[in-house]
Amino acid sequence: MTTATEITDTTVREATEWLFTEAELLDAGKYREWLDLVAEDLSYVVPLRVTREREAETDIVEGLTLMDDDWDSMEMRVLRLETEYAWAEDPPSRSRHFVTNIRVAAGEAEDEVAVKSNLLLYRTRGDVATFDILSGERHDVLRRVAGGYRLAKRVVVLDQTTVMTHNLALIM
Amino acid sequence: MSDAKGGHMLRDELRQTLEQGLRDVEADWTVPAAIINDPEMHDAERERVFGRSWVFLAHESEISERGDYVVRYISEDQFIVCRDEDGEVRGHLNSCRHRGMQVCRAEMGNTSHFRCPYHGWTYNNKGSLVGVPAGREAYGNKLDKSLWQLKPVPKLDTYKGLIFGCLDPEAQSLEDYLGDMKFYLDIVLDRSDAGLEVVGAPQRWVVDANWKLGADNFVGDAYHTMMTHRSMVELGLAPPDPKFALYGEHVHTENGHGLGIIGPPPGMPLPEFLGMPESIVEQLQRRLSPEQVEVFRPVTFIHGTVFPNLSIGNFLMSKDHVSPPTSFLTLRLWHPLGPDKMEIMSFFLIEKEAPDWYKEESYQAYVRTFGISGAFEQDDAENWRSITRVLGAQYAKKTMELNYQMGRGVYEPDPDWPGPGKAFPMDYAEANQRNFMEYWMQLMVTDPAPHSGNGKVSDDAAAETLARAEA
Amino acid sequence: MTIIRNEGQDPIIQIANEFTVIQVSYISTGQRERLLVSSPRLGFQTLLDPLQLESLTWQTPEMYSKLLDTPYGPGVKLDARPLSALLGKD
Repeated sequence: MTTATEITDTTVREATEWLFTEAELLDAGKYREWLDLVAEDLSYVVPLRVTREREAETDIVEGLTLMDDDWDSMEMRVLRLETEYAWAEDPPSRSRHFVTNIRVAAGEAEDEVAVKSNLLLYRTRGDVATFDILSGERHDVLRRVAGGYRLAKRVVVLDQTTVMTHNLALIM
Repeated sequence: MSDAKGGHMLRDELRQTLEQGLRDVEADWTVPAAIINDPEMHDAERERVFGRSWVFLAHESEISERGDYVVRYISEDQFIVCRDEDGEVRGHLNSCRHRGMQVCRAEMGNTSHFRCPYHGWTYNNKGSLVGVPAGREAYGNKLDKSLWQLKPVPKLDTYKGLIFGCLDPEAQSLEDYLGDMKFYLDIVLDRSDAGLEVVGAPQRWVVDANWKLGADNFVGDAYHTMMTHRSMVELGLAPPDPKFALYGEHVHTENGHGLGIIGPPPGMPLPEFLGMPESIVEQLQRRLSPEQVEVFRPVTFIHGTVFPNLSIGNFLMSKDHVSPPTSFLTLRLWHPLGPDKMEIMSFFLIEKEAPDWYKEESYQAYVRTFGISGAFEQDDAENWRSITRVLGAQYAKKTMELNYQMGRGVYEPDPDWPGPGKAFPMDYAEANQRNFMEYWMQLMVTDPAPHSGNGKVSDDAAAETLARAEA
Repeated sequence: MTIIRNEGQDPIIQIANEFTVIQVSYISTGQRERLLVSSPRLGFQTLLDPLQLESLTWQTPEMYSKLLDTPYGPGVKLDARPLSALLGKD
């Protein structure tokens, strides 16, 4: 049994700064650098939600997701963007990650912290004067390593059942 | 603008475009660009195409238990697709007979009765009205409940687990509508004794694109893989030959259906039968006809469309750049929301009896390459949005015809193909797409028959269905 | 299904769908054993003994449709009197 990390002001500040740095890299399209912030046992899941009654135990579907990646598939996505044929993001979308309501708690392992945050992701493409907005709550596990943190786990619960953007090509 | 028959007439200009289109698709192998993104085309299409065709609603496994229901669409009409207390599959218009309120507002659930949230009118899952609050006080018990059942989908039938509905009570049977396409559907739907199941629920998302572009892509467009999906070839998720999708048979049938059946590129050893687990291969060899087995043996990709908006993808693909390929099966519905907007519903299916390792690998291959986040599929949606935007403009609509001439003078129908339909010996072809568009245009220029307006026909159908159920 | 802890007594089982919520719990006093079925939304409840429960086992779906003839409970016997009767009569 490991002792969970004690959450100090420093931990909160470090986790917050990590999220802001990550957002900056993603919005700047620096995916290769973003990969350096990701643990090799990454689990990155966007659950599939359906409209259900309030009394339902959950509105999250079992067995299927909108996205379910590990390190290899994330690397594949980055490698793909580095080919000359990733039309979905070439020309790239302009995106902005707004990260708020950051809540830091002890993780399950001694070297991990559990970080919840709210995400508003704004996206435009081409010269069309319209935009897509995705809103959701992120449940992250950040693991402390020499020189900082690595993203070990992320669950992004989107606030939509019918998703209002044409693909999830952007990392949330 | 209505004609005497209760249907809507086509404006002359629209009719001329379509009639010219029918001549051109036959003679010049072109299609008018104006059919893609045009509000009037869309209006006419709702009635003339979606009002007459068999449209996919759900897979039986989504409502496997009595009382299970899902809410699905034919054009804008929404239907509760459910399994009633006797185990029969039914489709009811999701609209209370009192004020039209949605009876179900959840996407899925289980119930023996539906109770409208507005005034509480209550229906059993056969669709009969069984309860009205304050029936004695407010209606003096004089409301004849038997006249106020939920409107049924006029025709409902299933084929190998696929539930289809049709708004035209006079339409041909589903069996006849699918026709020769059944031979190929069986290869996908009927491989195992216990059958397929939809895993979880469909992914749903909105794309600013006309639905026909998705249907046209899946019905026959192997050609786009070379360019659109080249990133996947370079990374090794697809066979390491940009022209991998050329090596296939290009088949279409009556009623606009079609598919491509792709094998491995020459000299490239890929597993037979999409690399499916031995237990399933053993079953499919027993279940399918010798001709179907022969057709399916070398397959690595099957892409197809059941007219109008149900497509099938059965692909052998790697989940990332370091893993071996695994096959997966997806159904997708291109649900029109307007001339320039559709909702995609993407289903993942698997043989119920498949081993767990295969279920897991297949799921991963699907969710990482196809669907809303799929690295393969992303590039398609990008193209379709772009096309829809450009072809919605006046000059483009008036002057552009789209080139459907691939294969012209290059190859003839394949005389040795063991399956039904019209087959061409390679999948770089556009015969399927022409067949799809030609059928679509034929439906568009065909005026509604006198009896199939917005009349009482579906009431008769309702009464008939109920009488059958209660007998 | 939700299991609701019930201080000092057996837990309450709650099942729900899009249309309603119902709670079932076990009640015993001495020899008397019943299932308490209650509707928190409509405020009705009933205690069912073994024979009553047994009688449910052979009922048809149509019987429940009949029971739902009054979808929000039995209603009350209205002594219907128009509002106008209250206005300026006395």
